[in-house]
Amino acid sequence: MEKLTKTMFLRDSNKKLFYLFLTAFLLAAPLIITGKYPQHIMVMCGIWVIASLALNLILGYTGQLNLAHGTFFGIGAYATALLVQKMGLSFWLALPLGCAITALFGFLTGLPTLRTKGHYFPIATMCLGIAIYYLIARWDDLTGGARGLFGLPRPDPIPLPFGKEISFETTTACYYLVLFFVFLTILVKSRLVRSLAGKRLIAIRGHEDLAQSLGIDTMQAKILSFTLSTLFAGLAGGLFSAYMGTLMAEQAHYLLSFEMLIYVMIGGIGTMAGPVIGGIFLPILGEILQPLAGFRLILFGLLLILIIRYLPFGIVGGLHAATIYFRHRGTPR
Amino acid sequence: MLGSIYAMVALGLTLIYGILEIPNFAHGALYMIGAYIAFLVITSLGVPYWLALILSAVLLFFLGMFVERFVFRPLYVQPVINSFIAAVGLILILENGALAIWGPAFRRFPRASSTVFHVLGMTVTSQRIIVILTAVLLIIALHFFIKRTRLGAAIEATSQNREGAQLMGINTSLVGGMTFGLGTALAAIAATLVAPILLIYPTMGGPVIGMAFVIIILGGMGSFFGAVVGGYVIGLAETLFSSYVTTKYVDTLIFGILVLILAVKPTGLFGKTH
Amino acid sequence: MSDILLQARGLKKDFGGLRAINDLGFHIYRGEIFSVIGPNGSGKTTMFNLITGFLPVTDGDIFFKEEKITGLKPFEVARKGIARTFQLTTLFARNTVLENLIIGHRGTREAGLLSSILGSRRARRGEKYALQRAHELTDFIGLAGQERVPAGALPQGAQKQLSIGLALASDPELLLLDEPVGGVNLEEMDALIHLITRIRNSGVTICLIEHKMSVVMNISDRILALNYGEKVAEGTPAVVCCDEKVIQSYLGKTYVAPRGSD
Repeated sequence: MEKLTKTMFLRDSNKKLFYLFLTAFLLAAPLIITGKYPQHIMVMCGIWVIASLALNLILGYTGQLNLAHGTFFGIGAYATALLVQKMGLSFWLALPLGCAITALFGFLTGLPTLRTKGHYFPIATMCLGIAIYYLIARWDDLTGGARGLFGLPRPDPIPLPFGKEISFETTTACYYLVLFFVFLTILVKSRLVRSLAGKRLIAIRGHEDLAQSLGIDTMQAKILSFTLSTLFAGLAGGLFSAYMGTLMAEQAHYLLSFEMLIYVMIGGIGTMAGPVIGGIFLPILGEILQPLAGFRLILFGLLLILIIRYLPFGIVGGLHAATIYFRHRGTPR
Repeated sequence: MLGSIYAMVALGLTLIYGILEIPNFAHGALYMIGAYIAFLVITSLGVPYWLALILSAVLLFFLGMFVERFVFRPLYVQPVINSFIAAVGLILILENGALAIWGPAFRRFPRASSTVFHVLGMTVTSQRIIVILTAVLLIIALHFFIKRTRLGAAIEATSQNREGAQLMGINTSLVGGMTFGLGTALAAIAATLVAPILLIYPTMGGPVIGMAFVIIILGGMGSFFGAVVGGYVIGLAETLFSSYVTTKYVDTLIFGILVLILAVKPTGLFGKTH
Repeated sequence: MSDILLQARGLKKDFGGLRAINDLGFHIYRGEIFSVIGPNGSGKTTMFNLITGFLPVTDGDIFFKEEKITGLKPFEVARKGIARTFQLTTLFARNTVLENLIIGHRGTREAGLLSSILGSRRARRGEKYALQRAHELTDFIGLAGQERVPAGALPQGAQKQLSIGLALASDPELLLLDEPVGGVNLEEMDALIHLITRIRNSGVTICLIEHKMSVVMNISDRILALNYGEKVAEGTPAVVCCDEKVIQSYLGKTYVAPRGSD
């Protein structure tokens, strides 16, 4: 019985093996790659991957460019941080609550913005992002304004039998925590896009009027997709605040939305692997280019323009096209 | 005065919208570059203010044509979203380029003249008057240019129906490029005019472009009249607002309102549906 | 005659100062092939847009199975059982033939989000059924063997077939086809006509807009002729084709049909 999925560039049996190895590698990574700095990068990459996967849901699969995505990341970060710091909640309670709060914001702001047609949506979200950014940056009492929040604690240790516990003071522990959520995000997202409900989103991306004529409630589907994507953005944000310990308004700035846009676009829009690749390689690239500071973003901007022009489906898209090319090259016509 | 600046920027944006069919996100960044070029020319070459203004406008005209040709034109066949994304890339390049070259510090921009007038009990610097006068002159000139000259007609034709214009023998590629250049030059002039009053910094494009979007959406995309009127209205509103209300949440309010307006009337108040 | 499936009364549509549809009323019987003809600009596609909710009516009402559907949103109209194609062949070009039909499937629009994510048994059954139906439909519309081809890569005739299949996927009772044989060659036209007849025989009522008179005369049970947004004639092909006003609307008022010809 065939599945509903598009054929990826690896054959099915090879694919399962590949993912198995990949998972094993990811689980064993901290043992292979020791050293605080590389592990720190791995944690950050994990967070960016979650956020990029979230963006890809609304952008790649539903076809709507949400330029306030970074802002929702910020909302999640601040919500979780404030719940822990000001209300004394445990991280394990604050995180899901933070996600819920972000999703609620997403739902409420999605209602007006998704009513816009065509290219007004990015503008609307951009304005939304700016509005919320200024709110966060200036509401000193709540968010600490420009100074931000400090001294956020790591997640509480998880108790284990025999009086032991999993503590999250080390970077390695945080890595596994983030990895867990990365897997969770991938699971949820892949289930969604492969299901019939996911087909509705793809329909909207393809041709909204046509989708309507088929009986698809496009507004409802868009709101669903938007809310879900903000929920996961909030998840990434919450993890960020717990791991980093400090939070500044910059984490809600539209520049962040741009960065994640780059991760998704260069990795491969509309694919599962794209945001993962983008979320891993580009932050790493960014770190490598750190000494060049300003040039890093200039390079990213240039990359973005080039990718859009020559490889609009990113690295994954390019690989896919390449495999099709090689597969057919040998067959006689 | 602020209104004049907004009006010019919005006008440039409207022109470009006619060609590009999307609002040029990178307009603010180009605006900023215009100011910096003038700054560069004045401070390192000692060029007088007005010459610098013209120089910057001309340079940005060509920069605009370059951008249209190499960044946006290849994307006309792709879905509109991709032009947006390219504009984002452009913003990154321009903003961080400026950051790298000139640093993040706010810079003072030399004035055209320093005379101060006292009118009706208010102190008005000549710079502000210059801004208003120049803007008004330019807007009127532009209006006549579009309505009376052949090139202006070509621009209007191309922005309304590119294919049709092509069939009429208009070189739409050239016209498209020139319109883009024109819009960008307008932005450069606006930036250079206002630079002595407000300091210049690499992200100065941000708030301005935000306001420009507000204006375009209020006045309607693609409407010359809407852009001008909207510009002055918003400029006035902002000035009044910040004098009487605490400026802290002004931005949030304005952008929030914009979102709501977009939700209710997606094409703005005077807009044409494209 | 079986019962009336769709009825329009006093339809009016204004675009600013232009009246595109003026006091239009007609009815479509269940199980028939009902064609709409008229010169360019006579309001045929506008009429489709009014029925399917893509344009709001200025005045008048539309009833489907005795239920008022005026003013419903397009997806609501579709859920009532009316499907349509578009004048410009509209498909999900980036998706394969099979995927297109799965998207159009009735179950897709109602599939629950949560149950999909949780991978419930109901969701999986729904997916299996959708896939099965999509395969059946591919055969029915005559594209067997091309399931994996991206819709955008199909030739024009096959694209028309797919767009009809897409509309069929939602299991409609009434199918509105906007110029189904526009821009295809004779061979493709033959296949499409057979498809349309097959669809009618399977119990779906069809209303189509078409310019090719030979097609219209051949397969229609009844015809509606429009001119300048108004009804000029409504009846069987034999009646309509000889109606003076219909001929004049195509050929101009000074034309007088020679006696004895048809």
